[in-house]
Amino acid sequence: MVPPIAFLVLGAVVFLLAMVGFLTRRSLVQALMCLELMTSAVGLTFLALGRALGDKTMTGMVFATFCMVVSAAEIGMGLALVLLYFRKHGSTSTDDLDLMKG
Amino acid sequence: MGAEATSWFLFTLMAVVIVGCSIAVMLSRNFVHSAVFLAGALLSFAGLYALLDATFLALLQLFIYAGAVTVVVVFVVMLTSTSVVTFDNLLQRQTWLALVVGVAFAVPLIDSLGTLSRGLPVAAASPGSTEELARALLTTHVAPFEISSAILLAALVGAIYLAREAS
Repeated sequence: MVPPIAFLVLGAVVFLLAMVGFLTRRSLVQALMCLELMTSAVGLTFLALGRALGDKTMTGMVFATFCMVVSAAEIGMGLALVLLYFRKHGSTSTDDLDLMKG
Repeated sequence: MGAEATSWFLFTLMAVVIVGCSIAVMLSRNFVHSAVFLAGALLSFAGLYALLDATFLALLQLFIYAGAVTVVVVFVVMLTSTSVVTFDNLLQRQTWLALVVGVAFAVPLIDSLGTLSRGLPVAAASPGSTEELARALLTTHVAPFEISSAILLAALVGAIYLAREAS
């Protein structure tokens, strides 16, 4: 069996990679893709920990499920907002999100 | 090849695919390529979930992410294809700040992983069945389960409201 720590390390690596991507990319769509990767990495961590700790109440899997629900809602709303912003301002670049700049 | 070697082989394969695809998602200049790499990474995540005996979640990941989310992302990429997004070179402007934040996150993560690696049992314990998951969702965690259905409904209605053509 692959030890749980291998899954945890992989989850941490992907989370960090996606976070740096989220912070550096100039495209809103690419930022949302990085967010998806981040939540998937977190789900993997929940599953690996839940399995390693052998909890009978299935808390790890339940948390991974809720993680998935929240991220599905987030990507739906996020892409709708990107579409709305694009329709109003003709851009999906984070550089153009300066409406609140004084 | 024993079960041990097989699971290590599968894990390594999917880990390499995930890390490679994650980097490709970030660095692709064509957003459609990004979306394809995203699908690859999310598919491999489904494989890892299956490797952790979470069959139901692996299937969910396959349907929701590799299927639905990727298609929606491609749709939005197509609809906003006229948008001009400038690409900075890596290590420009706020990128150093992002790297600082990344390192600031990495240090406590590595620290806690080190602590965990000493405390975790080496052999995996009980693999959870879908039946047990369903029972947990509908008994112990029934309140968050119902709330999550409300969240999904709100997101559905909100997304349709936001993305509709203003008449």
